Amino acid sequence: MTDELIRTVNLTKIYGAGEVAVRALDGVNLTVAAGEFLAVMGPSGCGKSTLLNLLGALDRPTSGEVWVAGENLARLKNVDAFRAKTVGFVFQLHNLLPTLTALENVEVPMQGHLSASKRRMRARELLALVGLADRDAALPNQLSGGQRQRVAVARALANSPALLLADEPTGSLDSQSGEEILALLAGLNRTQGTTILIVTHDRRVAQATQRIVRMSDGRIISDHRLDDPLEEDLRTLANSRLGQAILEHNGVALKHLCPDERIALQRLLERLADRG
Amino acid sequence: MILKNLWRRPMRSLLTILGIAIGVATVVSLGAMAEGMIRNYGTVVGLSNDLLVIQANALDPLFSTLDEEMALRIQAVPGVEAVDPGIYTWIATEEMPFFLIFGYPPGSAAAAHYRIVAGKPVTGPKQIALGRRAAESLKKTVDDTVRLYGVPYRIVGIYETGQGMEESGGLVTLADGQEIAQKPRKVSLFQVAVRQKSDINQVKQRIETLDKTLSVNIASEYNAAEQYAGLMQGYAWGIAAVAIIVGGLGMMNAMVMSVLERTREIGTLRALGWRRRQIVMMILGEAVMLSLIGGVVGVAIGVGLTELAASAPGVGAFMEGIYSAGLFAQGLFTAFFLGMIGGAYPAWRAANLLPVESLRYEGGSSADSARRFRLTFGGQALRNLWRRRTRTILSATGIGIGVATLVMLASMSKGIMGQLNLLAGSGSPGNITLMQKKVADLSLSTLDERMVAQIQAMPGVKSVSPFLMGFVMSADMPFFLIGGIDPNSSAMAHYRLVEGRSIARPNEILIGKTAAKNYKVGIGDTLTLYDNRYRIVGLYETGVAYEDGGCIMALREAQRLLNRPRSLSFIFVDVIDPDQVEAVRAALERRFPEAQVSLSSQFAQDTDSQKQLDAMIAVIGGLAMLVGGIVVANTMMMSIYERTREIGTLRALGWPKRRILGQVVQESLWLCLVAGAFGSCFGVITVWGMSRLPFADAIIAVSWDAQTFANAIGIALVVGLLASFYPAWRASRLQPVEALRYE
Ligand SMILES: Nc1ncnc2c1ncn2[C@@H]1O[C@H](COP(=O)(O)OP(=O)(O)OP(=O)(O)O)[C@@H](O)[C@H]1O
Ligand SMILES: [Mg+2]
Repeated sequence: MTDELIRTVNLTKIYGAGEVAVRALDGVNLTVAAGEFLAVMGPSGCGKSTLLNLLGALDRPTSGEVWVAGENLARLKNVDAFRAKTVGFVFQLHNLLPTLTALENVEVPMQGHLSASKRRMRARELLALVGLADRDAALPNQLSGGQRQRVAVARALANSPALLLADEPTGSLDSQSGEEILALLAGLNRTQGTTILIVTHDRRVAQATQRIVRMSDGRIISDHRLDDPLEEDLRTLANSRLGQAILEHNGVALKHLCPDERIALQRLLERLADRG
Repeated sequence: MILKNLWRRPMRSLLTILGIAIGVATVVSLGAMAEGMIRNYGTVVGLSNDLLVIQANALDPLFSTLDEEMALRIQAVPGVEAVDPGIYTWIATEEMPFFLIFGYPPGSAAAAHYRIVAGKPVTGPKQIALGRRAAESLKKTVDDTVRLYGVPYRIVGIYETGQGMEESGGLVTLADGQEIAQKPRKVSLFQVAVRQKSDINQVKQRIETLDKTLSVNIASEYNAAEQYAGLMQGYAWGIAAVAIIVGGLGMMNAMVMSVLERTREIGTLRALGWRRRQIVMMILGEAVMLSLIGGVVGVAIGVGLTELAASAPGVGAFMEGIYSAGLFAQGLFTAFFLGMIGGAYPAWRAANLLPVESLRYEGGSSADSARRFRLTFGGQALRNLWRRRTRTILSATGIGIGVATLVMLASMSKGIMGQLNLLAGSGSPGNITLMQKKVADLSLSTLDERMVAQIQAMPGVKSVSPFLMGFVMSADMPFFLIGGIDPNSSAMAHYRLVEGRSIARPNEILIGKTAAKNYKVGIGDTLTLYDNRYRIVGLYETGVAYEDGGCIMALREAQRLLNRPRSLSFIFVDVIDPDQVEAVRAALERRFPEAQVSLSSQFAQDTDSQKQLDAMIAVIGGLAMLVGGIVVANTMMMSIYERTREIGTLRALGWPKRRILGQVVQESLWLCLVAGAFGSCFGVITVWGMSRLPFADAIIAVSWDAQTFANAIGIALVVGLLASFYPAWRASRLQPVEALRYE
């Protein structure tokens, strides 16, 4: 991967001051290439949302730098345009506007950038993309949780952002709807080349990505690429019925012993080799 | 808990308190002023003797006229020690819009009432003693000169009486007073001293039997403002009521919002075993708490305002407030009442929330109603208003009442102005109206009858019509105009006969159609005015409410009846060439400097009473709009609070600040536009209803024009704009991250 989309340099964010100061991010250095699909994981309160907010220019770092699409966010002239065009946000709670229909919600980020008729057309396209072409006139409270989240994804894509930031997009959904959203995001990454950064607690969600960044106490503690062919195969295997069966068989012990997938899969491979 | 709940939304609580406070402040300050006015005005004639004699049926000494010679007849009554004639009138000068003039014979007991503190007493013509307050606001002192109707008076002394209104006037000799009041050989009142051993009541009765035109009052019991007291208190309450209603709506609004946004909390409390009564007590407690704070603040503001008004130069003395514990209690009670009323509905709503449902509540519109009545048109601003219909209705009603008040007052004022313009045949554009300059009230205008002949002789003048105006105000005739007119003058054409014939004899009158209807009389009947009986010979119609609700009679007879011989209220002049009207007007102005010469078409605008009326309307309307504006600001604040997450989302999606700003302003403007339209309708209905009340058609003539409505709605929009600034600014300043974390 050549094009560098995100680079953070010693990114630090401290909330509050003095006694009550919380070091939410502590010297984070992260580089993301264009077209990557990566997951940020870690325990609650480790600074994942904070990182995302800084990447999306919703907040300012205490120190350190954030570069997105070649721009230093601290020197950004028009933050609003950046938010509207360069990044798209998907929140844990859909945060759709309750008074607007699905279609109108998708139009919101385009207001002020596109003409009314173009907005409408683009919004329809996007709704079709997320599979909701027939629900365009529905209000958010007339949609299911998964459908709302799909509308939110469509809204995030409105201005074809280079970067999609999703903060626990499946967190409030049942596993079925969660998988739908995930498949949608993976598809977008594959077909449109959108760079996607997703914060999640869900191991299975993370496994659907190409790279997993683990955080703890405001620091990155591990960063694994899953994009070499062997790993891909292993992952496919791990997700396959056979792999599941094997894992299930020794699951508890395996997980307990090796919290990391790569090792788990290597063990799995070894076992498979053992069996021939 | 109650205090904490209020503190959660300090801005909302503050605005609500402010709304209530303004209502209460109005009650307190207007109440104090009315009371002060009644007390002050009631004692203004400076009674130093035992009995006060004024004209029977006169509204108060200001309107009273008696023959000077009556003094001799009163003097002859057994038991009377001394009789002091006095003049009491009211003029307007540049510096002092209300300048009272007292005229008493120098050295009389009545004149001694004005205790000289600097200089010396008035002893001769063209001398004046100024009241302390008048001297202060005119910035004059002993040996300076003041001009009254152009005539210079030398200030010989400064007096004090301890009475604010008296000290805002001046004392002159009786003869000078008669000249200023244009009442030669007439007086306003007699002050009678009773002999020591005589029974005061007996003397009173003896004087009363002397002449039917006399009304005798025992000085210690007399209050000139008695007739006004009810009216004035009514006024004060009427104005205050508007402010109170609007404030109350604001309170209800705030509490409904507070209940809505705490729906989940209330559900939790219910689930934790709170009883309904406890919920009701909590919400009512908050409402009452807010309004009592508002009440205390309001009392303070009210006192401040009154003090401020009292210190205004010139008019201050007329607005000197008198506070009583009762008034403060009234203010606080009003606040308490507002709290109870404003809190009752929200408390009821809160108590009736089902725990299960309220726990599920997420904010936003409920799915059901949204599905059924979704607005399919309009931008987000309109839909946001629609989302909170109760709130929108309450706040629209708040500002709507303000608009209604404006529309109502403006149309009535326009009506009155139009009426005055039409008065006595000034319809044709060629006409010129003369009246006395700088009189405080139209009905006080006095011109010399001899002017008629002089004007007639001037070039360019076609005809001259004299007119004398008076009113009957009594229990069975609340407002009855008496017009004295020369039956042969051209103004007579203005009174279009619909039945009967014109006047031929002094005891004959024509009455207006409305009067005929109101008093159920017709041709051939008799009407009794001030104990004189008149035969009705004809019915007329002019389209002017005053006139149609009154009567006209021969000028001489009116002068006799109203006791104003040889004097006129107005003179109407017709010119030969309509193009020359301005030239004739200017010539008249030069010739008669004591007269105000106006083109009839704009006569009423020129009068001081119209200016005062306009000022009053501006104050009342301003007050109503102020409270309305606070309600709107409050609503917008609530609206942005509850949409904090939404606003955060929009910011995260790249909406610029000014877009958010625009949306909030737009929402507020829509709210005010709706309210403006609604308020205009409400105003029309109210005025229409009022004009249907019995006898009201003799006073109120309503005039609608597009201008009034445009103004009212325009003002509503300006209020909406102003009221939305702060909320909009707050909304645009929300930090996206914090707004998104907001719960
Ligand atoms: N506005 C704020 N003020 C003070 N502290 C904050 C603020 N926002 C976050 N924090 C603190 O910063 C730390 C990181 O928070 P952050 O929201 O990034 O965690 P997270 O990894 O997203 O957690 P979760 O998985 O629960 O969403 C936490 O300790 C949190 O308490
Ligand atoms: Mg988080």
